[in-house]
Amino acid sequence: MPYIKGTATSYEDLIAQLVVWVTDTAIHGDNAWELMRSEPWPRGTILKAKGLQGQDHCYIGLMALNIDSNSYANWYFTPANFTKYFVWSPYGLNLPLGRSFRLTGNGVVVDDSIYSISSANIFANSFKALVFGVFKQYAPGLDWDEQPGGLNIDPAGMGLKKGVLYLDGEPSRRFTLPLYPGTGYPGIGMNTDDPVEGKFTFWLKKDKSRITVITKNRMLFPDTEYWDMAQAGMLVPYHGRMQYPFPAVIAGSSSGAVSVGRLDSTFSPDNPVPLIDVQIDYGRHHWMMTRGMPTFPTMATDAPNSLSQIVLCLPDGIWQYFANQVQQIVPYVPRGEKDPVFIVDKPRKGPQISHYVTPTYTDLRGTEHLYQYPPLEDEIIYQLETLKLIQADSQRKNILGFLANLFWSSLPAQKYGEVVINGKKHVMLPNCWKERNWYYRTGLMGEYNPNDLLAKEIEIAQMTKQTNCLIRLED
Amino acid sequence: MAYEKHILTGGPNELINLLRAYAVNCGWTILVENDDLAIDGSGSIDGRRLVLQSPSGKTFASFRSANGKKIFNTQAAVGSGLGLVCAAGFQEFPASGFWYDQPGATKATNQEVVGVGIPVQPATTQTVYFNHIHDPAELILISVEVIDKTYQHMAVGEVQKVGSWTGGTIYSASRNSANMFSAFDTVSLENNSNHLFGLSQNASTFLRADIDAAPLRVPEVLWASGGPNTGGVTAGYTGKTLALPVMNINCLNAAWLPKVPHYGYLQSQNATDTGRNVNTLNCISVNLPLAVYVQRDPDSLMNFSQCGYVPGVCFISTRNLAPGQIYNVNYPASDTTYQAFPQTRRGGPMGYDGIAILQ
Repeated sequence: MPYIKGTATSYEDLIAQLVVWVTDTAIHGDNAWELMRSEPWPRGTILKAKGLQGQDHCYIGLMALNIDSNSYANWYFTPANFTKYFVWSPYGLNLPLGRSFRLTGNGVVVDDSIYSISSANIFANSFKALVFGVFKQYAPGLDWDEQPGGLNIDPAGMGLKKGVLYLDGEPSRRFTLPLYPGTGYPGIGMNTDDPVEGKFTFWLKKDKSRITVITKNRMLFPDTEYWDMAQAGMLVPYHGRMQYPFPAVIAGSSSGAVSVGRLDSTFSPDNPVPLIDVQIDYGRHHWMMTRGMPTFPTMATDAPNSLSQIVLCLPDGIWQYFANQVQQIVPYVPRGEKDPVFIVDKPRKGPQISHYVTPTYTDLRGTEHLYQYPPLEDEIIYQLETLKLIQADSQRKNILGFLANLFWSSLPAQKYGEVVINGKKHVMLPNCWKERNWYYRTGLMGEYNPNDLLAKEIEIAQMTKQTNCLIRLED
Repeated sequence: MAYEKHILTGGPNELINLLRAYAVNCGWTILVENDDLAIDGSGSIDGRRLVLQSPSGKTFASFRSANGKKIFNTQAAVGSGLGLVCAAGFQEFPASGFWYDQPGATKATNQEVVGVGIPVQPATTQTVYFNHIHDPAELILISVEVIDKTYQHMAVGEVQKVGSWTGGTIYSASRNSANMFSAFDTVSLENNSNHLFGLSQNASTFLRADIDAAPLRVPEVLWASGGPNTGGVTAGYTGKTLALPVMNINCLNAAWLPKVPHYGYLQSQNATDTGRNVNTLNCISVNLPLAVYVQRDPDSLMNFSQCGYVPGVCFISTRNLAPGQIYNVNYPASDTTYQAFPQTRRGGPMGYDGIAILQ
């Protein structure tokens, strides 16, 4: 199960190099993959890989997204998509077949009623992303996100930003906007101006049924290295073959989700109210844990199946996001002020989340290195923990499997990048950038007691030490 | 038989010529092929006429291309497309001079001839697929990608009979003769389309059958229509109702909906609904057969008897299938393949409802 290290100038360049490498039979022998296609969005790149049994197959996809402020509207307001996702859909008007209407560019006229749309954009920022997918079958005529067995999750339950529907010029109601093709899949990302050095470093590791991608980029604020990783392919399941036919998993250091808060006066012009929702941003514009390593997967809202850094195809064929915590924007009214400001809350457990990852679901601050007495002179022994995916809703209690080659380490990382552990090469990753805090206090939450402040700082420092991710390169 | 794919640039006239060549290869007989005079009495030639006879000799299918003028007397609008009427017999030179005026032709209760039709762009590149079912019964299908990823279908042939009865010709299209013309945009094209071999408010599927005493009525009722049990040429009601398992979803709660086993609850309920005929575990859509039922006498009881199946065509969900895609059923054992099409467009007003055609 080989790996390579190289440099790329863009995600498109990375895909091109990846395709050449993973399909090379001289390197991978019988485990070389087959390229089905490699095209720009929305058709993307799809490779045929082997399944867990070796005789079966799965299809692993990559797709580069280049998002700007017009991307969503340019896609959503095409007649084909606007009728599908608004006019004839329960997301919007849900008009019956045969009911006549007329499209107006950003709206529709039904009988004498004029419906118009505003806020039709789920993107919080412009960004570049590389998203990953796993599919059960390959249909040449279908776009990347339509492939058989790909994510098919209802955006209505994600807390995703909604559009505003106006009827005859007056705001009428909010309505569900669909996910843009390719979003919702975990992946990696960067800002529109990246890579700031014109290139970035990457590592690729593959086996017969999974690919792991690591990138080391650079950012200017703070001026440091910026790490990303993603893995797509098969989970290592605890079930037998017939019990778990397609244990596909996708993990990435960006879920694409970010919590956004604002004052909204759409329905109450004289009395704006706080509005918080989930928007899409794979870039590195914020420090919330939804943009962090999959060892600590995080949702941007407390919901049973909202976006996170890990998504798994469950034994019943439904894709499920896994998260250990929720981090979102909350409104806070400073003393003496009328309007709230919007601050980032600390990561908290989500009562509605019933699919999570161990061991990092629990507070690991008490975990030390392995016990060795007398201590070794120049060596520390510590434990590597696989990430196990747990299902624990009201009916289903399951330990489903673990991610291959991806670990949480009880050793707080001192050095990032390639490290040799037990004679094997690994890559130690910070939580995207080194010295990044678990979260940053805002100073607005009534925190004035020195002892309370100290306790919070200690908690942040200790939790920060846990936020690492280790990936094995050599077997 | 494997499908044939053509790129159409010459509009309805080229389509009818391609159909002629394809039908001959399928063993159908050409009874008439010629340029035809407009039905408006102007004396000008405005399209081509083609009459096909099935290998069994029992099906007479009259096609007519439309090029900017109406081709049925009952049409309010004009446009470009291909019309079809089937009849119980054949007459090369009908007394009226109209192409559709054939003996035993499909008629609405007001005795106007009704049929089916699809819009075809006049001089734009379009893709057309022809399919042919030979066994267990004859069927020719035409699928035109009228605009990008949006299809219109037409089919003519004979049902695979259950039992013994007189008749058997069945034909269907995405629209009926009264509604066959459309502007060539997403909204216009899809909003007034029907399921192929499906029930709809404006019937576009017709079956030739002697049902109980209906042929002895005055006027005679020789055809059953897949739609409401009242109405004129727009509804396409012939005097006997046909029951079919798939339908335009706005028929699901209609009072006239025949109470027979149907797929209404398995179909897509809206544009984003993938329907129930799809499996999240293996991405398979099950090929569900299209049974045909006829309304028995007396009509008021709305009792139906199954009389056969549409040969070689099944109802599927296209959630995991691209238009025109060939797929294998019972893989890898059977080696039997089907071609998949959406009813109009994946994610259109019919959601992911589609048809699978035996290859």
